[in-house]
Amino acid sequence: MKKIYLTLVIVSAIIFAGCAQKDVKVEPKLSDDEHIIIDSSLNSWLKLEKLNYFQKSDGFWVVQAKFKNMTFTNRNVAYKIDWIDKNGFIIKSILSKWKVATVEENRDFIINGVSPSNQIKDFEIRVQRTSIDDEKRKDSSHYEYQN
Amino acid sequence: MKKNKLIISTLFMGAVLFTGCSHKPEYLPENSPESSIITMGIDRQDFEKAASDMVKSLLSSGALDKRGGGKYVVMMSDIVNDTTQRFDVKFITKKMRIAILNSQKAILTSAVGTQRDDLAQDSRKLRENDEFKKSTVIQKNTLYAPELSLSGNILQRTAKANKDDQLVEYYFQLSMTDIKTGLVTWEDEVVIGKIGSNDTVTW
Repeated sequence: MKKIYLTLVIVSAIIFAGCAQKDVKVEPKLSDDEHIIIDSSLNSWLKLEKLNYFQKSDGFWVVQAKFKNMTFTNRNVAYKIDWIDKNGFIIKSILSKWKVATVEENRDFIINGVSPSNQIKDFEIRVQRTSIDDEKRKDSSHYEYQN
Repeated sequence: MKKNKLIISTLFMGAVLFTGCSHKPEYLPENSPESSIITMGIDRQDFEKAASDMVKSLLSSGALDKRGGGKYVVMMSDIVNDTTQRFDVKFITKKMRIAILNSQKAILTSAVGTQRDDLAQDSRKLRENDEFKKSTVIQKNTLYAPELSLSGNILQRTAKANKDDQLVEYYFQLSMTDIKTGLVTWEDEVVIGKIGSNDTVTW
């Protein structure tokens, strides 16, 4: 009798493990997208849900990354969008600077961006844990509150 | 004579003493935490936020996408500072002008508008001056007329938040108008709110 239970448990484990592995393969691994660089220390609370980007007919890139604060605590995160030209240089623009966002508990955190010119070839969204200096920059151009 | 010497010595000593008391000036790098100073008035960072939010909105709206290709010619119109503070609206418009030019979707004219370069007109008066070589004087029919006009307001609202604090809100409102048709092709508003002591003044 014990042998039968043991066999059943092992077979079920194999079946469920197989299903789980299949799900992982089917699910798009957004965090592996080359356009997003996320600090691994944020994995404990921040989940990337969707990354959407396209080039409009006028040549401008529009980007939206949607994350979620998976915890029941307000959290701070720093982010920046780098816009890259055809030569691989990062463009200096008022549309590209480090910002700190407070994300309310269990709420979405959305990064919206538009390229500073229609000559942009690529972009990178960098998301990091806030530094000590980030926490001191609470002025309107460096800080936002998202809920 | 002795009196003069005494005055000079006193002034000299005073200058030395007061110089010793004052802080040595320091360079404040643009994005350093020390430069993130928040006052109840409109700070440099507020102009930056207003300009970057406006530019982001303008570029994503498609209002600068000219039908048939090419670039729009944009003129700066009235941007009225209707706050209690005295500042030049160029603190915001210059950032926007740079961003619009860098976008390569539009070009700005300084020939007309509120931020015009008067020399663009004055230099044409040289046509009647025989002292200048005719071949170097600007010919007629060379200026580009504006097609779009950027106008707006900066407004302020102050309210008492509680016994000790006051709330100050700044509204940056901008519009882009198609001069030919008079139709507004883009508009947006950025609001920046601040709360602080009643003892603080905003001007």
